[in-house]
Amino acid sequence: MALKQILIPDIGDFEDVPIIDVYIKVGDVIDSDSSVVALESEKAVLDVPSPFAGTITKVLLKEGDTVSKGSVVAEIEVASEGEEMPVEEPKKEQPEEPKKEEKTEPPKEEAKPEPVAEVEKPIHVAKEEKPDLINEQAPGAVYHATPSLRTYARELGVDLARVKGSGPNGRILHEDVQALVRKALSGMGTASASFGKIELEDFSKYGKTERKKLTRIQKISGPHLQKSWQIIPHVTQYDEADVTELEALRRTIKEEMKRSADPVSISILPFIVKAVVAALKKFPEMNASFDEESGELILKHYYHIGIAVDTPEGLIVPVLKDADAKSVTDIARELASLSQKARERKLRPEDLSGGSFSISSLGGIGGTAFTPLINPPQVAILGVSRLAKKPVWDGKEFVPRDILPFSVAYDHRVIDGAAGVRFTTYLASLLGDLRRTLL
Amino acid sequence: MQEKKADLVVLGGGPGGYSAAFRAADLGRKVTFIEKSSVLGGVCLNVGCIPSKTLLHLAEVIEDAEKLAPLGVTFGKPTFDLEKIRSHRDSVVGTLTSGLDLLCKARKVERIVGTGTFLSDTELKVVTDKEELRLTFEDLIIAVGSRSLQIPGIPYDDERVWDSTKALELTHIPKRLAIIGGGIIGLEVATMYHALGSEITIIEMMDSLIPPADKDLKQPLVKKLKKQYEAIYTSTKVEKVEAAKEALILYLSGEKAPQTIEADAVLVAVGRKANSDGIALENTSIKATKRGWIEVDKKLRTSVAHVFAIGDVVGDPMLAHKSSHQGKVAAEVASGHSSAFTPMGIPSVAYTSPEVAWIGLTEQEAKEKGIAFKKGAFPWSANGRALSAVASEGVSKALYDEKTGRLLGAGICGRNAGELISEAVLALEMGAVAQDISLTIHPHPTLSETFALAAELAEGTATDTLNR
Repeated sequence: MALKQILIPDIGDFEDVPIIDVYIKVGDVIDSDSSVVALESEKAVLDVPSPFAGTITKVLLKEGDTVSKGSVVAEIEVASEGEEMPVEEPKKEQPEEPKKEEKTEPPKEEAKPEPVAEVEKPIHVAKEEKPDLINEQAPGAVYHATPSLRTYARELGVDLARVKGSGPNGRILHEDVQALVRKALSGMGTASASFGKIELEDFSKYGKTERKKLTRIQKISGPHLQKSWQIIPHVTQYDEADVTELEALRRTIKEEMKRSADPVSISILPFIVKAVVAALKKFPEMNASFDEESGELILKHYYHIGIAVDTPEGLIVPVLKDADAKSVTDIARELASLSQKARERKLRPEDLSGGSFSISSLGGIGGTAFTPLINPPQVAILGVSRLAKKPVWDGKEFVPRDILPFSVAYDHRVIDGAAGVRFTTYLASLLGDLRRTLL
Repeated sequence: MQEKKADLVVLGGGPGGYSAAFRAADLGRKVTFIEKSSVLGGVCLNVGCIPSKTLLHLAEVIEDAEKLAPLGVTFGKPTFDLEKIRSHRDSVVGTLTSGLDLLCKARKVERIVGTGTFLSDTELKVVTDKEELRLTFEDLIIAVGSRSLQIPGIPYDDERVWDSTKALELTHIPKRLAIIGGGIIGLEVATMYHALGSEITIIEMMDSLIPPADKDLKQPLVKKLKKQYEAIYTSTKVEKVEAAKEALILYLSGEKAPQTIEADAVLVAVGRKANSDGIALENTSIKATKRGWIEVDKKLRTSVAHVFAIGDVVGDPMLAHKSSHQGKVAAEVASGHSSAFTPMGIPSVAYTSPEVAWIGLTEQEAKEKGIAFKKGAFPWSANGRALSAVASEGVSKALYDEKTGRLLGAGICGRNAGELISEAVLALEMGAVAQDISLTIHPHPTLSETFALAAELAEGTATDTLNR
């Protein structure tokens, strides 16, 4: 038997990630590859597998702790086949008394969790989050910060490169730093700060209740959605598209696919993606991010479309990269694989990042119209509702047509109402006749 | 070996080490302070800055007294009681080092007189004359300093061959003192022994004395030394030194230098070597450069995040005032503060006669880096106080950024330049433009005025001289 440490592997471009679930406790017998903890990284939940099989002898982290690559999760008594290797006592984490900053390894590009072997040296566990802010002052620069101000800014975590000096000769004043901090604070977390929490009461006096934990995805997406709702002034434009011809085409292709060597089920979604890309090309401000600091719109010359996927754990939004360069069948295949990965909780951080526009399609379930929430830092999102046969007056009589209701929510700070409705009208015309995407 | 646990260890008791130890103790850390000598203060207090300044003060007064002769005041030729001079030097040093002992006690810093070598990234082997310890530490600050660099071809065993420590012992006054190395240390020893009556010859490998300083800045000093000293050989190498019975024979190679010269004592002052080789870094993952300088980031962390290094052992400039500032930063970072070592400049001072001091960018560097600047240089021969004090050999110069007008660097050569430069250091850190300095009223008549006048010259608003 040998004592080994289970470490947080390379988790890609993330540091000081919170642990949102600990699956193990002392005495648990686990297999190698069984998940030991779940990490929250941006929007994804990562399960960290154990590289060893054995009995857990010590759990060193708890829910809410933050970790980086190399943090020790637990110690495990391994039924060894290899050489015995004594493990040195790792440094204990002391969150109540943050004493040191830790240098964390520069993140590697690869974001795949990989089992990491045992350590040779004691690893200092990453503690409180403090970026390595230096704030050097270059001689002769346009802006100047005195030594005491450099210290002050370091303490507040303010990068002086972002501060404009209002003092004589461009000198940065304490007030300038304070103003920036105030601005930053007012831009985030106002919810809990100014509105407070929703008061609960003793519901038992009304009847029986039970408590159910939020899913992990809900825990993560909640604050993200709240931020979107509070910061972005949403406007939703509703419209519908006559997709009778598109549906006829889709059915034909679907039939053909059944006979193909590499069949794939084709829904209307891949066609919608193609239409959206064509519409985004015409309305580039919809495929953008808003830089509040500089007051500029960052237009994206790539078309990475986030697709909301319903999973047992909740809604998750994997990203279909470079949708403009992919065929309808390619997109159909990729969507199928992304949804499966989402349901199996196998999405990796890179599957979830980089989206420039999102689509939330609830049409498979139902609904006539809804307001989707923008997925920041994007500025717009398409919501698709249920396709229905509707009678349409063609001038002489009512004819049955396939009508697709949809809605586009956009950030009113950067897109005005006229632009919004032009976008939906154009999108409806593309869906009505997909040949228009060639124009 | 006895096992012991420590919170924060400071290895080395020089100005950097004690600043680190005291700051850490004040921040609530339990400090274990290891120094091989029973006296704190390191090279600076014991065999460097402080004893040399004690002796340089004598040199200054002797020279000032001589300067009065043409003005109608004559003193007798000075006589030297070396015994008394040495005891004065020792009492100055003693006052300061015993003060450190008291500060140590008052802060409840645990002192160990002994050596420390690494066993791993978290353990130190400590050897005292009584015991051996295996010390496990949470954090450690390396402050082990530097020593005189030795070059080959020199009989170091011969007691006529000195390093700076030996020179400051002041055992006797050699008739002919040859100094290898025309940097700050070499010139300070030259100043001392010249005042005591030695004939000085300086041999410098580079093409000028005090190589980093601007030529126009050091010109008043160089001009004077050329008159005072036996010889100054620049661009000259010492191939070897032979220890003959009667004298030391130096073999030189340089265009203008003779093949050999004789001397009664030779000072080797060619630079300093980091003491990173004596602490078993090979047992750690701490990285050092080829020159033995321990690599640190702006927070003075080594490649092992809980081990810090400060002062001479992290490289140039090897100056006490750099070390003490770094010591504090390291102690603060180790204690969870957001400090960083970000000075805009570290002042250099040669305590020669006249003194040479500079801060920030030199003109040479500005030109090499292609930085556009405005320059103001005020000659002391136009300053009333300098003339009154028979100290007209001097210049105050400053460089201002052409676009932003901010001070980029400054240099002062002249009496008390080492004191006067502090104003320029402050101006640099505060981001002063020339006008900030020229509009700051300086008392008249003073030497300090010259720095303001240099600012006026850069602005073109000077009245005490022509604005050229």
